[in-house]
Amino acid sequence: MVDEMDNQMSFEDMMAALEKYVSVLEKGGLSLDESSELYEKGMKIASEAGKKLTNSELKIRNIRENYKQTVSNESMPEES
Amino acid sequence: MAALTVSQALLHLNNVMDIDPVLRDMCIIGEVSKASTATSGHKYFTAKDDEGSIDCALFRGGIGGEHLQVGVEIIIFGRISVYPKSGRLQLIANLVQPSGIGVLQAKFEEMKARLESEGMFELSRKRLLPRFPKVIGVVASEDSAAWQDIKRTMTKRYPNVEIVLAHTLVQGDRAPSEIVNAINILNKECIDVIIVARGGGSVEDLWAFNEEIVARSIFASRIPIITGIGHETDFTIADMVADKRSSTPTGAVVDSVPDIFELAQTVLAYRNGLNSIIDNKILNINNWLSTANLKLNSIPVDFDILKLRLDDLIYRSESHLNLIQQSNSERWDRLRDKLLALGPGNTIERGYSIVQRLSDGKIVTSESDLNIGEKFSIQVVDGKIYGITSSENEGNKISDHQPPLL
Repeated sequence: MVDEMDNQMSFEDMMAALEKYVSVLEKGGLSLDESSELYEKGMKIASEAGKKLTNSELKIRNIRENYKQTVSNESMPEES
Repeated sequence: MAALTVSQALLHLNNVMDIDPVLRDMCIIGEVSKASTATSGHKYFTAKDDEGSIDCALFRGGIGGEHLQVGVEIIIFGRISVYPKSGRLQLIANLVQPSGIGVLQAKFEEMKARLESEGMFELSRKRLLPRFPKVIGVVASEDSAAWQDIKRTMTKRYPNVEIVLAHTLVQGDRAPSEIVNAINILNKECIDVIIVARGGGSVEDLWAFNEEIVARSIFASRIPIITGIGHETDFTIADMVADKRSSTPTGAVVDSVPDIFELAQTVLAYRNGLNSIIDNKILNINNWLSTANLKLNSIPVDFDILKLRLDDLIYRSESHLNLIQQSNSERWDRLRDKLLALGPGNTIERGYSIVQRLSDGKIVTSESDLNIGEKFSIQVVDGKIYGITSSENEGNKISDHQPPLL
């Protein structure tokens, strides 16, 4: 379930979660169990974030064609 | 044809001129030949060239009144109208610039002043850009160096993104409407931020980005817009309206996305942070445990003291026992003395004796205890005397002469 959650997380959410976990842990006052839970969650997200960064590839979409298509579709009734 | 009154004729003239695109938005170059300021603050002046002149008015609040000095060549922006009172034609100016700065520059200044007064450059309306955009729209020419720069920089800096290119002309008469169109199309897409980009060029080359319709479509864009137009020194109206102005197309990429290497380092720093926090926590617990252990070990379990205490307890219980025993034995002695005193020994010693029925040993305390002819013994101090009762010995009652025992 945690895996699914992590996969759905945006990069922004990941960074925010990491920031939060680190600051909560830094503040202290948690039990060992609570700390290790946050630690595990944090490490999981950190590795997901790392994967996302290293596996990313720039995608380019040119909507010129789409737009032309839209134009020709619109003009079709006039032609027929 | 119905006759018009003078004022009707003038009103008609003004109406016609108000809808004429040339007359209602004029830009005239001329030399100031007359200039005066009314008490109301309005300025009246005449502009002329070698062949003609026109009366002009710059109402209070108009821009550039300080340039209205006789002999100075100026550029006037405004509209033509007829003053109904006199029927004289005049140019109602809203901006006056010295002509030395060029017509385009003057136009630029005029539009800048006008849009600024509308609040289109307000810092308060500039939107924050997303920190980690997922989809970025680009308004640029697909054949331009600007687009190549954007692709290259984005691939290097933050490939974790999708770019949607809306190709447009960026120069020439058709450019402004195409740019507006591209911005509008991208606004229908699911996009986080739009980059409007064009490489360097002359003021004329970049002019499309000074057009009012472009400025207004940037202002109206639902999606935040970053401009990267020309070089560092180029400032277009589009730059001023945009949510963020970057100096170049490459700069716009840098301003729109984070650096992947910095991000990776940040993630690494978080990892290290998490590791060191948990390490510290474990170290602290370890330290605590070993301190506790040390403390436990160093608690002095002094068996000597316990022995002493035990000895003391034993001694105390023994002495208590002795005390009890002693008092018991004293009591016993007293009891024995008492018993001895109660016993017959002493009495016998004093001369008394004990008579017992011989048949069963019962101590004879009454006449009736013995029948005539029955055997009895008499215990005296040094032995026993035996006898038999006889009937003749009546009235000889030993008991009468017995002294009290105690």
